Amino acid sequence: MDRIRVQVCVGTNCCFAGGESLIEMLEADIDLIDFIEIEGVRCMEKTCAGGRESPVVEIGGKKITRATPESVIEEIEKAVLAQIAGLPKAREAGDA
Amino acid sequence: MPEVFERMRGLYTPCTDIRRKVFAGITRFVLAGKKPEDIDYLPFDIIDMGKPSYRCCSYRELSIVRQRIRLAFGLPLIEERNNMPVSAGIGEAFTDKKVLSAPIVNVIRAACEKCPEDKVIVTNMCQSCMAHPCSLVCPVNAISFPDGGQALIDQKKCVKCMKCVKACPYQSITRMVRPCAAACGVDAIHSDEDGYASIDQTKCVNCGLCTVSCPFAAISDKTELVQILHQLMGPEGGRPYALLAPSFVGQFGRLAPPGAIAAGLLAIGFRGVREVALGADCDTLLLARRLAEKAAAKAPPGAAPGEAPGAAFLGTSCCPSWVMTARKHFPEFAGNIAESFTPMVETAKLIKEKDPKARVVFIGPCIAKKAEALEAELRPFVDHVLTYEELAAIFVAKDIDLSSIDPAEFPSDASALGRGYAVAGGVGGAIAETAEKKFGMKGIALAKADTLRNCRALLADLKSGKASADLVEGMACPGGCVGGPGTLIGLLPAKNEVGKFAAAAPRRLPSRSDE
Repeated sequence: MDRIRVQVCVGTNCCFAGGESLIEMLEADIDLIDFIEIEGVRCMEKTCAGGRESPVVEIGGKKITRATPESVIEEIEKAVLAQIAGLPKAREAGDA
Repeated sequence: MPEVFERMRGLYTPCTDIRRKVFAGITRFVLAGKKPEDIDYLPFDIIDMGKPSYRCCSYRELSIVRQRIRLAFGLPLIEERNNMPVSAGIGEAFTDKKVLSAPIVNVIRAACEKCPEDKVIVTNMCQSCMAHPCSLVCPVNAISFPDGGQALIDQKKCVKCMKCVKACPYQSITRMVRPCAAACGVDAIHSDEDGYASIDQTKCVNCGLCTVSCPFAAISDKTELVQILHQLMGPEGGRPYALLAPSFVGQFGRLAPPGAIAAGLLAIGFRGVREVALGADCDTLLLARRLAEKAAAKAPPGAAPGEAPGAAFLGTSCCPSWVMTARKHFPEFAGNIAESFTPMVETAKLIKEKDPKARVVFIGPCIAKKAEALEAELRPFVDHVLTYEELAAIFVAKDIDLSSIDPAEFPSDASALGRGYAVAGGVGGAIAETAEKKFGMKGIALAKADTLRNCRALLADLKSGKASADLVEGMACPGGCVGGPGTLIGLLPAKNEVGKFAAAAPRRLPSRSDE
């Protein structure tokens, strides 16, 4: 299984709104850490709308604005489930 | 169980959120050239009336935000319960002169939930068990079982010995201590006649840990944001220099290296940037020299009868809350604390020697520095104090992104040991190492403590003779300055960043320009 790529904006607006705290929180989550790859990324320019939509987190191409630990974990779980949903087919093909 | 201020550390809570929204809102307001008469519109830029997100109702939010704004403008608290509009006299803050006055740390009563001060209580987990060891171990017979149900503690009788807490098989009994009071290492917080938290300003040493420990954000410090903004917007000659405390590295995010932070400071109008680690170097040399002099002057053992055990130590002087605590609680040790200026003042002096008219703003994690800079003898050196959090509000309001800015050259003239002042053990370690390598001393006994509770315990041990030391380092904040209330990132990443930056210093030991 591929690790889910979680990109957390650590531009100044997003840091001020808790971007670095989000990374710290995710890194401390031992149930989650094996499934994800966390990366602090540069300001995604217009996404945060001058900080009004900060912090911004991108998971599997989807941008989450005003991200909270709750909304980020929910999105990661969705991405993990989507990967698992894709697995049985591959296994069947392998078994055959 | 970790200390109360450690439990919420690193979390971006709604308390963090409202504090930062106030700072950013005020900064945008001032930058937009708004006038004192516009002040009543400001709260609505910060909260959304009709959609309470922090409190039970918007009107309470509004009342609290008005008071937070007033403190952030640097003015003394006015409460609506005084039958006065909170914005009275706000025009005084619209200046580039200093308006800050004591007390720095204030309880906003409209926000205080009047938590019980200190109470042992039985929770719903109580199973009203057959054994009921709680009442058997209670030395004052305070526990009863009304109607054969759950245990009840008679608060008038309870002496908080904690025996029942330890004996309960269901862990159903707990001690609830008001978080602000639990965070206060000098026991300065009690209740007023109405049950609100109240700070005894004769005891408070301005460490500010209560401000980040109250889960209702009911305690706040004043800021100098507005006056500094007026300087940054004003004529070039009046613009201030920025002094960055040693803990600054990494505070503005992992993609904002020191050069980017310097570039950001210049972009918002600061004239220049210096690191306070330079002043730390002055202090290291001064204290190492004093330690050597003390050792040389020390009479052979037994020759000084009457001297209290452990009384010969030299105490560090860089943390103002530690210095105040030591002087207030252990007056007999007042003479042991080094009579030196702090690194903040030493660095400011370096700038003012060259340009006496220059204004200097210290930027750090520290609330106690705001009080220190109010002292009459230090006023000529340090004009204002800003926290990292307050500075970040200016970057945000000015739309300056440090992750993409072109870095400026960072002045790199401080030593590795000076840069290490930000982490607990770094100050004492720097002085001891310098004393050994530059002044030929050997085997210096260093004792250190962080958090004021631990500092007081160490001083008590030194007094009783249980501990002895040549050099004593005290730090009010957990982990040192990197654990300060004005920081933006967690303790561990902050320590790592400071360590890396120290390793990149041009030299390990401090040196003087006259050497």
